[in-house]
Amino acid sequence: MTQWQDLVKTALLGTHRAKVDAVHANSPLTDLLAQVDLSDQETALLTMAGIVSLHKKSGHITSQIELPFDFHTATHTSDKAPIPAQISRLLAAMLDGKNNVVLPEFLTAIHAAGFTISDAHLPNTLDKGMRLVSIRPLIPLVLGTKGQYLAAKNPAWRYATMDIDNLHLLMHEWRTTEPGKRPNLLRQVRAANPHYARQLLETTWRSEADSIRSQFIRLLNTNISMADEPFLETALDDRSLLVRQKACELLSYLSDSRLARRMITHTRGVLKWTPNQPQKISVRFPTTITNQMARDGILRNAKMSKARLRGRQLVQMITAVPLDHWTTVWNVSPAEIIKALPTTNWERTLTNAFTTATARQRNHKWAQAILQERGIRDHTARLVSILTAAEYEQFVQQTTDNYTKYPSLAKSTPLRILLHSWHNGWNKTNSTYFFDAIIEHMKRPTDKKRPDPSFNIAVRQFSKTCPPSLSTTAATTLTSDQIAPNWRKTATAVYEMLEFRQQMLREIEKAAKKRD
Amino acid sequence: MAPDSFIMRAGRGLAYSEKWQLLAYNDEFVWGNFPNLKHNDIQTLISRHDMTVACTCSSRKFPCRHGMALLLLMGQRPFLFSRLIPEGWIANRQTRHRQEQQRKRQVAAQTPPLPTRKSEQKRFQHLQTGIAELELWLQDLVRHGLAALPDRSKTFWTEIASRMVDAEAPEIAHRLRHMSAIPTKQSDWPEQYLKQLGIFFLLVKGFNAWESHTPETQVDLKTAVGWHPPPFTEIGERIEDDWLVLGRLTRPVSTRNWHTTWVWGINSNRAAAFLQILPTQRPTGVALATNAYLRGTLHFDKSHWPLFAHAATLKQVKRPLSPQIGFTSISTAIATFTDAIAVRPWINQFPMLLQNVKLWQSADTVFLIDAEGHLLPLTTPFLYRWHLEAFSANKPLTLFGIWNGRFFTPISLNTHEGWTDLHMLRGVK
Repeated sequence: MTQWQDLVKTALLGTHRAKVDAVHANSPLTDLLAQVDLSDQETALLTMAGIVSLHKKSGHITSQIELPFDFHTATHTSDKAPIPAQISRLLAAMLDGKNNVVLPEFLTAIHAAGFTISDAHLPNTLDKGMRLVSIRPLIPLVLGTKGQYLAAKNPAWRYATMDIDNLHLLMHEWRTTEPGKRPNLLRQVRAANPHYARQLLETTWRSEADSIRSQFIRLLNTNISMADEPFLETALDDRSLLVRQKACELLSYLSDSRLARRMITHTRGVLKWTPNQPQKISVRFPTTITNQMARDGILRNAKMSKARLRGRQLVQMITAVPLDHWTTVWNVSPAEIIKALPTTNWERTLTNAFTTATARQRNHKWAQAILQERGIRDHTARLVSILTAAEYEQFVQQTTDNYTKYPSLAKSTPLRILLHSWHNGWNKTNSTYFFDAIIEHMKRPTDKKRPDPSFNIAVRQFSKTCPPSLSTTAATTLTSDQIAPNWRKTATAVYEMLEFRQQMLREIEKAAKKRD
Repeated sequence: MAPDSFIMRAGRGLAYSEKWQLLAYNDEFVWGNFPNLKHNDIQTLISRHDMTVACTCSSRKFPCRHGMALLLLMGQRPFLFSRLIPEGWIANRQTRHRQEQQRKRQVAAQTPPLPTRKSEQKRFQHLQTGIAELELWLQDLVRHGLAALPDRSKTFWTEIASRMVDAEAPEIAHRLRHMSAIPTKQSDWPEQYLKQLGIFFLLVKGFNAWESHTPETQVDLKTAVGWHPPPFTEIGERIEDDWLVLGRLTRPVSTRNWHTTWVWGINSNRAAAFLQILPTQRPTGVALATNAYLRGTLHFDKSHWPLFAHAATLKQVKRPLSPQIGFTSISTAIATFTDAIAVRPWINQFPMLLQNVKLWQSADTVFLIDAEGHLLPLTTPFLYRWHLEAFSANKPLTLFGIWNGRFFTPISLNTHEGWTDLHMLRGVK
């Protein structure tokens, strides 16, 4: 519309530089514009602008297109019932950040009960899964048909509809996903299908930047197996030091790897079982670190003292040797080896090395031996989670004199370590005992102004994984005036968490019964 | 009814009797005392008849979390409340509320309009002065040209806006402030500015020819600058109907919050708006729940296209069977909008209840599309697109929202559970 464009031009320049021209009447609009008095240029410009503006506003014609889809297509109805309103409210609270650590438990429970997420919360749940990779495996289980339809429409939510078992589609996804989102994609695929995840990595490995490669290789830690060995073996020759170091570390998890076999050779003569001598294990370092040894992760030169360098080399060698090698070659038990460590000059280093090897190789016989002989300490804490449930219970019984005593839960004590290092589920006996131990600890007065933050963390972690039925006891014990003032905030947080989880599971059970 | 999901959640968190020091009621009101460690206890009062909510807390949101909690307790656990005689602030508030309600009923019953008060005449003089100042400012602006506008600081707009506030034209002040936010990186920025300046100038012209206008035009002009007539003073139509509450839009204008609650007549198929201009601190007003059906007579303000209305009494009723209300197509809605603009050019918020629409995206814009292929662009950014898709699942939707001539802003959606406020959902980018 040229009149409007002329007006805009004049307005931009200003009436002291440009003129508002008369309009020729040839339509109802221009008839009206032609009647505007031009003697006062500013008034004329503004009046015309107002008229045209109103004309555009009132004469708005909506765009019309040929329908790009069948408007009356059949709808996507849900195959399962959505969660009812009172459960939706709990989900809304979690999605808003309150108690969102419980989200995996919640999604598992509603899936088990045969429900799907309600319509109002589907977008937020899918959005949460985009950022929180750990819940991605659970989301497709609770989407239902509607949720699948929704996820398919938004490229950012493709993770929820991806067929993890279709390598061709995964390859396409890998190639088309934004680089910033690929770590999350890899994490998701690695958790579900580790072989495919590695194959995705291999397609673009050489072209990735050093920093990206070092980020990706860390993700192979999940579900690592001998199938990853060839890839990790070639990564030992990578141009990036960080990648090489990580490859060495990951190969040390695999007792049957080529690196493990070479390390047995490298350590021949380094450790010797000498039971008849004062030092029951003699340590002799190799005179030279060969290129092959350096490739396998043994430090050759470094700006540090010789003693420190030797210590590092010893740890690097021992952690990569399969633990069964020592017991087989020396014909002794793990406990005997651990008992012999204090007789050596390298007690701390060897303890660290064997502990790391045990943690990496997840050898629970060695874990038991180390915890028994060296005690449940900070440096052996990581072995607690390797124990079987029965072995763990044995240690708890030992520490608590068969659940009759309440030793201190202060930092670095065995009971504290048993509390915060166990991640494999709580049975009724242990959970009840630890709950009571926590209450006893919180009742003890303290002269410290600020409570121990690590206890705070340990207790809150416990409240997220222990049986929520403890909330019944918590209602009286955690809200009691006997709780020391320093701990009241923590006690309230724990109670609220238990109460929330209990309410959540109760509501889901009730809704399932009502539906059936 | 809640202003957002956080207040709703906070309200639920407070809806336990052990958190309140006192829960009481009488025939007309429900009230409670909420302990406050640092200052005086918080007192919250709700009228049982018209849902007026008042609270002494410092929340700027209306209703606040205490109001929401009390409403929830009232609805779900009325047995927790004890019958008591009110005291102090509660008693004063109740007396004031009764007096206001009585005045409303008296005013509504009077057929001739009340005479204009002296204070209103004085206010009109202020307004005329402000309008004259605006006229000079606009002429000055176009004389020098708009080319320098992108380089102007925000104060260029806030200064003239402040003068409009002084002139009792808050709506113009609000729009002037927003003009500083017109994106000058877009190629059509001069057109956006010129359109708005042109509209302002026509308003000025309207006030300059005040005496020659009909009463309806005069009310429309005043409303356009933000001067809404006091309730029941400029009465036009009266319509008795069952009114469906469709949602509320709140926007800050000057130092107050303007709460516009939209309703739709089931039989008359007419839209109406209740406007409450409340202070930002300790607002007291009527909270109507979306999806409620209210029976009563609405008294519309005089206008060539009446939208704003008042009611002396409204009674909540049950949902009528399958009400078919609203526009059946986008083209019908736009045609009605055109008719409205033709007689009342200053409408900035035109209510549209659209049946049978779906969502469609082209480039970065999301549209509503009807069965004939007509498109209506949604406001950007629109954070509830995926929620609408989730509710729809490829099925046509029924939506209520506001059309401003360029974009449609959905406010509520008809689901299988009734009408739901979109602002209660957490938007997704």
